[in-house]
Amino acid sequence: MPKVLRCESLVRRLGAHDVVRGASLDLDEAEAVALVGPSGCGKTTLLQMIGLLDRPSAGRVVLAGHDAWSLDDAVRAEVRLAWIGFVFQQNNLVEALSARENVALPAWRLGSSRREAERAADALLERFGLAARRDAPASELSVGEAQRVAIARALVNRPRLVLADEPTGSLDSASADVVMEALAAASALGAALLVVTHDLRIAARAGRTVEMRDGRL
Amino acid sequence: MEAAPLPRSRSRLGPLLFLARKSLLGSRFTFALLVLSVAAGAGFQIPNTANLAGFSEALLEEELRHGGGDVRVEPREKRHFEDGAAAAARVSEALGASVRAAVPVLVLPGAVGKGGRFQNALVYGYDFPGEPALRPFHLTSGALPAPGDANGVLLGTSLANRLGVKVGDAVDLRIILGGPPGGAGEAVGGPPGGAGEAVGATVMTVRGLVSGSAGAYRSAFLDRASLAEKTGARAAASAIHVHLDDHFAASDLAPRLEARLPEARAVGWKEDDPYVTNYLAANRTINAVSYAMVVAAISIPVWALFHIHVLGRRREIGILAALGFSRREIFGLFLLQTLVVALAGLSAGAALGYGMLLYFDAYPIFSWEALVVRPVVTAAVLAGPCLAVLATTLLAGSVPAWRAARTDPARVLRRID
Repeated sequence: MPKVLRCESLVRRLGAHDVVRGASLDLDEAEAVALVGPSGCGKTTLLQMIGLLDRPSAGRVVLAGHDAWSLDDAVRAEVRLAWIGFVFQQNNLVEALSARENVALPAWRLGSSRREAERAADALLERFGLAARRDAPASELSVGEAQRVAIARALVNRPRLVLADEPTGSLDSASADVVMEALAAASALGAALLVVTHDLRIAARAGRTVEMRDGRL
Repeated sequence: MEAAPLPRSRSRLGPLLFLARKSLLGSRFTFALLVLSVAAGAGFQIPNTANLAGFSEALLEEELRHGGGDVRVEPREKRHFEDGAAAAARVSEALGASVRAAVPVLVLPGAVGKGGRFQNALVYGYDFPGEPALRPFHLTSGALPAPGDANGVLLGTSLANRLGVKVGDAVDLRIILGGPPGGAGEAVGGPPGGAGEAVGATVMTVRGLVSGSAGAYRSAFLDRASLAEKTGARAAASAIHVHLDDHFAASDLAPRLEARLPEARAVGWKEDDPYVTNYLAANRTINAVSYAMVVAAISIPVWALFHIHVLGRRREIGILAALGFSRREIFGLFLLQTLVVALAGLSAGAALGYGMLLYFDAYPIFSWEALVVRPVVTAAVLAGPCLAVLATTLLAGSVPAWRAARTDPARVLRRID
């Protein structure tokens, strides 16, 4: 199976402290991996380095065969836009936009017309049971609704890699089930999935679980 | 692992415009304050520039067009040109197409009196009617003396007021035929002239009253031939006033004229009239200071308000970066917002400025004699303040936009910053 992600000896140093110490990890297409570990062990930092948001102090992130951190800023942004879908612990929607606008925005930016992007957004929102809430401002969505919108946004460009940072951390169990279904759907679409979680149910649904402790995998 | 082709898409204006509009509408109060500060700057500078341009234009119009011309030509050694018209023709020929008119004048010191009380005055011999746009006076009442009218005189309004005369009255005119031109306007107890000076004394009829800030308000004007006859040289002219199409060519043309007419001394208005030169320089300085104040008055609030705007949207910026918007696009997003503010502020400021222009046109900031300062509205006068306001707003807004582009999404999204 083709490799989507290869992390080679990633290190993230903050001052004198190494938050991530030589982490290496591979993900294949459609593979789901759960990243578990105690709070503060470096999971989110690792996810942000893989997601091209936080530059590693050492090591490489190879995405679909490209050393992603050696690309220039504009190309790296393109890679984020086209190949990576990010789901944060807090939904991180743009509050000034509606649910539909939040989901459509990355597709519109990537090259779809606005109408096509909104159609794609509508389809995803319907799939996640949010068709009736598509015009609601992000600030008026419940936590569970907002997290589903965030997942829809992460999937709208059909990314090769979905990174989810404790996506059910702030949800009740019913909402968490819906989010888990949504992430499983992403994986079913062929995306590699890396989920940081404390939720054993999510970890159990992943094909592989990787534990992180003191910055090491 | 075989490398997949890298994704390539061009930055698109549509999403950025959409986000800019949402962002500004989400901060309506800040947006209103920004527009207000830009509008105030434009609304102040547009009429200010127009008024100062109007002041400079009125000054040139009155002091040069309706004054002594752009170049004053006098005989180098003799007291006057024997034949003023011929001298004027030689001057025109020497300078060529750049000359609008060369006007011979005979200027003598004298006094005008009524009832035994005299006022000093310069007495101008002028070829009536002359070209109205180039006369060294504005006729305010009465009529011009006819050519050859030996008894008619035009009196400056100030001179007439002091003497208490009106159109149709008779006045005593005393002219020093042999003395050098002297000061005018001082009240004297008796007629000018003394031992050794030839004084012409004539009773004249006031045909009209004239104004003009270049000195006409306190001078007397009569037919040049009639005045020259009193000097014994019927066609004499003490100077040729040269009017050019371009005022600012005078300093270059005067030496060229001297080279071609060695018997004449030519002085451009800049060298001859420091009053006008300094006034124009003062206008430019005031305008520059005003621009500087406007730049400060716009750049400080725009910078500060946009800085606050960016600080309030750091999380949104982090989200956009995480979604795949590049630094350049985030910079462009905030610069677009600055552009919207600049254009909205300019529109409001232009409307405000237009209202001020109408007001100053109806109520000029300066009005004395014929020197009435009205705002001059030309493309250049409007373009200067508009471009300055636009550039200032964009530059001031580009600093917070640059900061926005430098936002570290990792820190912001983890709420470290």
